[in-house]
Amino acid sequence: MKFFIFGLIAFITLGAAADPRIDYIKKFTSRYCADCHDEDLEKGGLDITHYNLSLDTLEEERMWSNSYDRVMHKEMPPKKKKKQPSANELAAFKKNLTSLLNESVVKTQKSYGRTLYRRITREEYENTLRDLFELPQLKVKDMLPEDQSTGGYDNVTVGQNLSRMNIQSYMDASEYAIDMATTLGPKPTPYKYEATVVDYHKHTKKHKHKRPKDNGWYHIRLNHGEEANKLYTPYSGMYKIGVKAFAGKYDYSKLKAVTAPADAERVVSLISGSQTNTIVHDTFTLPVNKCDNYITKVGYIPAGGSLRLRANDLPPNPNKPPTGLPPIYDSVAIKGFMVEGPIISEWPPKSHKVLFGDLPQGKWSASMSKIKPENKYYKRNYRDRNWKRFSSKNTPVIISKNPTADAQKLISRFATKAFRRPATTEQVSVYVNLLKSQMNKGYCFQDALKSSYMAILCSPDFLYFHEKPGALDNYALANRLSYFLWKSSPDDKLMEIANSGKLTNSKVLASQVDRMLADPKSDRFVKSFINQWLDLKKFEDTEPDFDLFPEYKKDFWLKESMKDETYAYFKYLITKNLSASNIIDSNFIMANRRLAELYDLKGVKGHDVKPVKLPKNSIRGGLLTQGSVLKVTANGATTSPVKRGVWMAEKILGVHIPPPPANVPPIKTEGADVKTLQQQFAKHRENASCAACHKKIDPIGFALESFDVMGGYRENYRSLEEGKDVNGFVKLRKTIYKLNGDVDITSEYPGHGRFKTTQEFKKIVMKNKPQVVQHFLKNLITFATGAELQFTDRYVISQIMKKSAKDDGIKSLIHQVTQSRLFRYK
Amino acid sequence: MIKDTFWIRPKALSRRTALKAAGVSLALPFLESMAAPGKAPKNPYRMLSVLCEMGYTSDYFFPDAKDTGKNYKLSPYLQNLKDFKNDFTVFSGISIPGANGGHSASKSFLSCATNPAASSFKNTISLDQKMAQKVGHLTRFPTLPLSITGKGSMMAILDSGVTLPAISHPSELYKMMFIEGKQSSIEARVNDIERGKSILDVVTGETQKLNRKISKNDRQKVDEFLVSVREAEKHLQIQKDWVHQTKPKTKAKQPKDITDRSALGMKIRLMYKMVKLAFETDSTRIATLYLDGGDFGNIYNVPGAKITDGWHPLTHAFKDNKKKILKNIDDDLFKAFAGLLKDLKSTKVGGEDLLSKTMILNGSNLGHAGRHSNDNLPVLLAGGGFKHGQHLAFDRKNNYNQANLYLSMLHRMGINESKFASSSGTMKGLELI
Repeated sequence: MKFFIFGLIAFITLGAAADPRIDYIKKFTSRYCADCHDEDLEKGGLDITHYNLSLDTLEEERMWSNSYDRVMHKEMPPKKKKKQPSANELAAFKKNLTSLLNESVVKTQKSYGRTLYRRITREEYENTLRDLFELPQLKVKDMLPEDQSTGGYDNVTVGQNLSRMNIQSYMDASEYAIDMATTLGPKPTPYKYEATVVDYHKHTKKHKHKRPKDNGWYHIRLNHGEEANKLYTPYSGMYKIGVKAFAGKYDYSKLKAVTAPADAERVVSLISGSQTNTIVHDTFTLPVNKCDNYITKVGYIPAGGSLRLRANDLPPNPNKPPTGLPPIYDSVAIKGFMVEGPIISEWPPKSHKVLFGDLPQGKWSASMSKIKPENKYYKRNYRDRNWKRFSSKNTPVIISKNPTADAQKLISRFATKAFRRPATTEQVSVYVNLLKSQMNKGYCFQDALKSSYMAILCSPDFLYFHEKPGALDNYALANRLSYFLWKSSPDDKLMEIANSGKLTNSKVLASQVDRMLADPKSDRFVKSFINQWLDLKKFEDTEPDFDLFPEYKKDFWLKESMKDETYAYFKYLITKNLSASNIIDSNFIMANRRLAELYDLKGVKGHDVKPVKLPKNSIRGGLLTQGSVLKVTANGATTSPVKRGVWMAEKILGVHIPPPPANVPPIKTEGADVKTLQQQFAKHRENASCAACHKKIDPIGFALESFDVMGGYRENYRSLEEGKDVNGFVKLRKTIYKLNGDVDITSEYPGHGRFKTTQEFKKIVMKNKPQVVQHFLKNLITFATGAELQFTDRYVISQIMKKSAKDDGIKSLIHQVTQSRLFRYK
Repeated sequence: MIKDTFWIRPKALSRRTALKAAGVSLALPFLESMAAPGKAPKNPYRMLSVLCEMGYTSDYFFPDAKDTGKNYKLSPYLQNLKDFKNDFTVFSGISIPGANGGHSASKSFLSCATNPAASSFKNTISLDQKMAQKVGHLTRFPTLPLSITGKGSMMAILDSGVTLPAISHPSELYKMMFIEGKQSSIEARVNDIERGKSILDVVTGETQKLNRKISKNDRQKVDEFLVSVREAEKHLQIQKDWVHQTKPKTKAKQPKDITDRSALGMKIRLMYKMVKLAFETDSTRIATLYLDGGDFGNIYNVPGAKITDGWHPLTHAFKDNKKKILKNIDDDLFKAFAGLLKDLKSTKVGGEDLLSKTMILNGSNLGHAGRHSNDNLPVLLAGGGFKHGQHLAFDRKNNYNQANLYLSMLHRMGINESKFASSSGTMKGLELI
């Protein structure tokens, strides 16, 4: 017996250690890695002896695939170490670790899937409710706590955390959305507004400022433009909005208009909301020197909202009047505004029918329910006097003769839409029972129904994706697809196909991808993906320093256009299925006049961002040199090759850069007391502990050194302290910055070659296109599936890469991703 | 004043039963004193944590390294607090182990979670929320997470790692604390809470059904959801309890929000006033205030000083003249802080001055903002029943664990846990009165 137990123990121990692959890797790492990466030294924060090879956790899997990469890329063990593995040892390491990793990952993916139980992000939540209620203007995103990003994307399950705060805000947001969708009471009476511009501009209570006027037209010379005076929209809704304005010129010394040249272009925007929360209704070009009728547009104005004409290409307020400039300025002449609406195409609106179908409304009386119906929807939707008069005497209420049957029908329809798969009878009965119990407590039908709807929108069936390990079923696939390409729920058409069970057919799937990409809703994919992939979500984080860069001061149009450019560019690559090499470089850009000014291109007019052909050997083209990208990689006052290098490595080239160690003094950049930036960086790289990472970062960061904080081309740095004075005016302000030091971008992309200009750098990157395409694919797959790439997924990527050798159009790549196992399996 | 502070509860007993039903642990000694309106209540401790986004310049913050203990010479910044020298302790050579990553470390300031800059970072419960778990239910607002420009509370972290949103409009805060709703709106609120509970019941039921059909790895996420729903339910119960309590009265008028983006000093002063009102009226006992500076180009205007650059760029400047400008800003921050101390000291609650009952932690996650370093953090602790008036110095290279300070503060709050985050004990050299 004793012997037997001993034998058993021996067998078990032997069994656990019997895997020769594990033995080999252990031997290899203890020989070549553990010198530095052990408990004592823990170089780079890694103690490799701490990780075993059972590969039970995601963390272990990631650590070992990372080690695999470091060794295979010959970064580890460091070259200066004498002990180096032989070619045979490397091959054996590769074979054994690959086999171990593959085996383990395949096992977990088979039993649990790649993607864990995924919750919709707050962006997806807002889109879903907008589509569900057919309320395109609904705002609920900011009511929810911010989502945490993992590997750059907020929809990756691993990092999604949850608390009671989320649940509370889901309740608040769902109630708010339902209230916004509800419309009881009489149809709104149309509101009409027309007003001329007032004669005086109130600066302060004491100081009134008479405004420049000519023949009944007021001439505006600053970009904040003019607000519609005493506008008071009683309802939130779509309005016909108009303005009488033209492009002019004005002599402020004689208080007289001057004729503007016929090609004078003034781009203006009709906007509502505050400076920080602006709704841009439309941006357009004004007629020159005269305007007989209102220029009309359509826009959404919230109840009690405002309307303003913003003169985009006029200068911002210089605070004090400039001296030494001729008193004739470009102007926008304006006479008046009009607002009419709301535009009602059907009554009650669609959103209301989603909730209550065709049930009639009537007057509430105390005999109908113990508790008086809520009227929150009224407070949020109306500021109309007529309605107030009506509601002081009447309480409108939805009438249902047969509450249970009506609720059954409405809830079943609503739940199926909300759950994005047919609601079961059991599910429906749960929510109908909630309605019944609420009615028993004394709530009227509509309030009880509201409770059921809120419960549906707070349930995991709505908030999560329901996928089972293995191939996704039709509904799960429809959901994954629509949250990938629309960031929202499937539409009726897609649900129909899922219902018929045909979506899993590759051809049908492909045709749906085409249809969905052609739908305007795919703009949400473009924005969301670009915001996260290229960090454009950080666009507003910094503001250029106005003393250093007066040309960007309060240039709302430029900022809006910069983001539009990158979205439009990516969208254009999709629609035209242009090659992925356009990520690196292209012979066109998407630009309007303001962007063309930023990029020194002549002959582009108007506001619409459209394809513009670039001259030969232009510094622009591709994503790297777009203003938006150059802005998010800069601070407000300075740029840094480090920041841009890290961005380029992590976002475009797919080179992993570990986070910086604590307590490192910053590199001094612009205006610093070093001779040149290049010298400073060379010194930096002499330091061995910095060099390990910075030789990967700085040289490629220098490739973008020719661009200032907003992406304008520069040959000199600017400083407020020392350097050569620049005497001149920018936007009515005297410049105070100085030119200090020449820009020198000469650098070397290690292992790939030297470059003297950005163009040369792009050529070098172009030679490594597969690396860029592969990294783009990784990003796309993470975004599409809500899970980071695992070791075995590399095989799928390499398959796609093979196919992309023939066709690497962006749309084709999207197709490849959606057809791949990674997308079609949990 | 006492009457204002501890208004008499009409239904003290039913409140207790309700709390028990909700499964909230009771801090009994204190609750008993509330339940007996005739007796003067025992005066509880409060806690405010102030975190400065852009850091305090260390050269001007720290006293001389060798000049420790009592009778130390105040540093230039601390000169602003000279009237209160015996009401605070300044630390040097302390930091939060593993909380690195420059600005990101602000998320760890009160939680002491490690590696906040990592892409897989998950935060842990913060000091204020830990306190709120024990004493939060005793006041209308378990905690007040506040900020200046609305960037979020940053410091206040629930145990699930979710950051609480912050209140940044003083007028709104005033309304929540002091303006009584109409009877009809109170009823509506009760109805809302009741409905919320019914809804969450259904959601719980539907989630439990899922648990049966879901694979092992996903179940963890489902459980997380379930726990959150239960927490939300508990919270509703507590809220319901407070709806019927009359709000306290105050002589202070409802403030107007300051809209000027660069008037940061005025905004901070106003928020300090609101915190004092909240503590004075026992609307909450725990508050956090994030001194955020708006976007990174935003200017912090100091009346009388010429501020040429944004607050953030200034912290990265090398020139002496820029450093001088930054000093103006930092000085203004400490002047505002001195205002708060003065205000608290002159306010009497239950026969004692409010400062002696209020722990105020003021500091930053940045040791040197220009370098984005996260060691040797500028931190001071004022008020709250500690023996103050000293410079508690530790090794500025190998820092002492700041979590120990937090454990001391927890104990002062009457929460006798043996550990907070990475703490190894209570703060060496900091004694209770």
